[in-house]
Amino acid sequence: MTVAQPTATVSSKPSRLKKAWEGISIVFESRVATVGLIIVLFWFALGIISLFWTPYPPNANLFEQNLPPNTTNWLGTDHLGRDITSRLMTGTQVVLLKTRLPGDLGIVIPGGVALWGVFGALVVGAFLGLNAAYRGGWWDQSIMQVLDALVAFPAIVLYLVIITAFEQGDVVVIFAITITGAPGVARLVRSLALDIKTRDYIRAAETRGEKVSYIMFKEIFPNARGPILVDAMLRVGYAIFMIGTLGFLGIGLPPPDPDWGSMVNEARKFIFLNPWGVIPPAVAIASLVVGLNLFADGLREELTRYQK
Amino acid sequence: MAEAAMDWTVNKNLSDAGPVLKIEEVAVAYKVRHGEIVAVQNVSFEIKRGESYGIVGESGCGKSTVAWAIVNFLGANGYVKAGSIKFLGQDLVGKTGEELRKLRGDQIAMVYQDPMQALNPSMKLGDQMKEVLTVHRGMSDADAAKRCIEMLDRVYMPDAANVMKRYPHQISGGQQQRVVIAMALLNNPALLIMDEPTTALDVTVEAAVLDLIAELRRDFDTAIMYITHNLGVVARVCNRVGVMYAGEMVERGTVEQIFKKPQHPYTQGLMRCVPKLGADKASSMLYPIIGRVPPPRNRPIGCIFNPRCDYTQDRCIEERPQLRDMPNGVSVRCHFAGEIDPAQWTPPEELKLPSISGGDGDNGEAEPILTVNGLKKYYPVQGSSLKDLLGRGPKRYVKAVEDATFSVKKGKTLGIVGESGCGKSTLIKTLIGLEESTAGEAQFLGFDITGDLSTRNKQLIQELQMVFQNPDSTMNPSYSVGQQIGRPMIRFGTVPKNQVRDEVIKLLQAMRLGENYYDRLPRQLSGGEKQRVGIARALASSPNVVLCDEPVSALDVSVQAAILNLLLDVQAESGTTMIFIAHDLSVVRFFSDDVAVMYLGQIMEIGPADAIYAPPYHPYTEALLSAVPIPDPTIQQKHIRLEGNVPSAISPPSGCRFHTRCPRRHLLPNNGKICEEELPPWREIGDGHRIFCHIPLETLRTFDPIITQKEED
Repeated sequence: MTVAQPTATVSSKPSRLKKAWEGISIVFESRVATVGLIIVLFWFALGIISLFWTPYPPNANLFEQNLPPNTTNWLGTDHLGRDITSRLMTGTQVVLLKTRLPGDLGIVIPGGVALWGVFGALVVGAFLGLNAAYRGGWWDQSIMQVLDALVAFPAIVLYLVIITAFEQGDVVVIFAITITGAPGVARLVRSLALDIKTRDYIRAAETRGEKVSYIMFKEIFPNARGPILVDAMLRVGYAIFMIGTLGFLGIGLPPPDPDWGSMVNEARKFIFLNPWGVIPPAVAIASLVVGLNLFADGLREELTRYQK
Repeated sequence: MAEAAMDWTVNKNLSDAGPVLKIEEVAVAYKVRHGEIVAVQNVSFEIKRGESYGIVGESGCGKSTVAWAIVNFLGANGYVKAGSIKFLGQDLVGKTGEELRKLRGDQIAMVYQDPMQALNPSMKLGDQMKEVLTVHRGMSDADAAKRCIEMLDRVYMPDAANVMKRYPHQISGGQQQRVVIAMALLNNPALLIMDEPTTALDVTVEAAVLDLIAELRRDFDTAIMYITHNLGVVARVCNRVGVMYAGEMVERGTVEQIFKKPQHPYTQGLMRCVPKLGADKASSMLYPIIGRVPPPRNRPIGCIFNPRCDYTQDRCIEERPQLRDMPNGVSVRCHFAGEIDPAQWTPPEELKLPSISGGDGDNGEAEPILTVNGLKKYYPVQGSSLKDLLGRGPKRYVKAVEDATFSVKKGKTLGIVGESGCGKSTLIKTLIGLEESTAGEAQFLGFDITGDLSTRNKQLIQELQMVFQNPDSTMNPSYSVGQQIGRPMIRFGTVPKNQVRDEVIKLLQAMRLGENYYDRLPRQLSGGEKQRVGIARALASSPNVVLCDEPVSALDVSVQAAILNLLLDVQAESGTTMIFIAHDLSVVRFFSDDVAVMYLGQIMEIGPADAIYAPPYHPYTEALLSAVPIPDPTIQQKHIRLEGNVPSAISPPSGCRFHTRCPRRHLLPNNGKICEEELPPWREIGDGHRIFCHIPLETLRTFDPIITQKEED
């Protein structure tokens, strides 16, 4: 977001730090947002810990099968005798912290599947939405018609189509989240941009003869950031939910590393033997989604509130 | 009418004794996240029956807050902290909602600024009006309808019975405000509160509504509380005035007293900020008030006006003055009122006034820098019939600008005036290239500028820049002041990249903003400061011509004066040519060398500014001038009011576009039949002054001047 950045940045540094703090401190003005943030941070912290330490190796069958919670295995064991606590902690990684790239090299990039998926939806959606809104006319018509057609498909059908068309894998799930998320983001960005493009500063940019891309990305987009950010938080929640659903259907993230959705799916099969197995991953999904929702809602309320 | 008048006097005996509204030492506070803000304090005044009490002051001075306190409309976090509000002898403060409702009943009515928001767009006007009577008075539907029609007639609504069947969007803004006023008067209220009721209206419509208000005050014997920022309006409709500043009432008295001999330094300052109609930049000067209205949180301890006052002494800083009665009956909140003589006032040092050298610019004929010949701008409109949908119907257009012909000389200013919708903004949008012109010629420095921006090269774009109207949207909220002013310099490469910062600071200083503004964000600036940055950005590419689209109309008068001075300064220093749009005729007269008067897309009269404001007038110019509210009760204005509405620009009237409303066409044979049939000729008066009218010059010359000084008694 640095346009026409002057050579001397020294003087603007403290103000930027202060600005960042102002942005963060707004979260604590709202109790709802604070609670949401705490829940989300809890799962992030758990995931980071699991990178270095888990009570037991998450994929090793060390115990008796289908144990209820006890002193050794705090949340019990699953149908293969693996420790659920360890698997739950490791399950956070793939959602929030790491993405496994396809190929035999086993390259891992930081940032979970849910985060990359939403990021992809934001990039694609914002690009399409800005073009539709600012250029208008046929651009608007054709972009929005295609996106509307995409929305008309049930999301789950789209996921199935995308995942069966490619192979199972982290990147495919990211791709699926991007495709299903982009129309919603595009609509939001379009509606924001339609409003912003009527402002006088856009006229001023036009009378300077600025390029269309400059006006879209440098003049309009920065002013739409607030609502887009809030929307993105909610979308991360939905994405986690969707990963859970895909895992439950057995077409989600590839084994053997655990993810919450497939944990629910596997435990479901033995629910009459050990009803305790379903609960931890289900609660994990629900609490992270609720946390993100609370955080986004609180943030939105504070951002739109009349300041002081 | 006599019958109606009888009816209105029924309530009159309710309280012959005492004022209708008596406000004593009222303070209003709002609870906010960290403590509370006292928005208004120490406000006292009273309004008697049949009196119209004006409350004036700049925005943020608490005028509306006082009105809301009276009707208990302060919102969830506002409350009256101290003082009493007595309505017909009973205190309104501290009563619950239900008690208040009983007490006030239908006795207080309020008229707001925007009539479109006061009327329900999904209900017919008649139903809305009748509701007032059927609900409050339990009247039968037929009686209520009859009464409503009477009332609409009373506010001079043409075809009242028919208006009852229409929806709000089907009548014009001026008519909407009439309906709102009629509605407010239906219950014959004891107190009528009007909060800037004419601010959103055009000057000719405003004049008619003000006439109406003045007349209703006489006939209905209602107490009117009139809130406005416009001194001219107060002079026209009020008999007593209270001047508010930063939440306090600083001076109150009769209109004559306040305007003839203002005693508080703030009131005196306000009077000096406003250009008098007919004053120009060569012969007079505007003196802005230094500084700005302090926000409620950090008001000074002593006199609230002391940081901006030219007479501040130690006592003013230490002690807050009380409202004192002066010998002539005016009350003033100033320690030194009576000792201050405005005639002795000299502008303070720090007030940098523009150096306008009298007739210096007139030497020789400067060559025109911008010539426009027969320029047209039509917008196609889509019809709604099936034929139109298939593209087979007749093409229809909004004729926004028709045959504009003028030229602007280098270093001069062309002012364009006209009511809203007359095409003045479209004209400059076409010139700057935001819109493509439909036909005609336009040349700038010898280059053709009829196309839109995509057809122009960078150098041409750089030479034509624009200043916008709305200070809140003129700056991008995401970038700092420095970045925004620097962008044109980088874009056009007028300044090497490593010197941009220095150049921006130089420009900021020229705008009387310090270097510390460089890193500020728009939300940290006031309206006037934003407008200065907007001007700086337009000047950053050192353009030849700057187009100003109402740059001061959204600002308070004291800020407006400062911005006008700044623009004058810029022009004097760099010889920039300007086109200046405004709807305020006094401002245009003050600022411009030449003036064009537009009506419905057509230039009606064009010429040197002093020639436009003196006879011979075009009939439309004459009507415009007689409608301007003038802040001087000693001035006599001719009374000409236009009837009807501005016709639609899709099918403008044949012949002369003004013929449907022209008050002078009867001067022509056959009641001006020729006006309906033929386009008028341009009548040349000389010195570039041209009038687009059928009436011969000899007749036009016989019109009296609009403004004359009243004879002193």
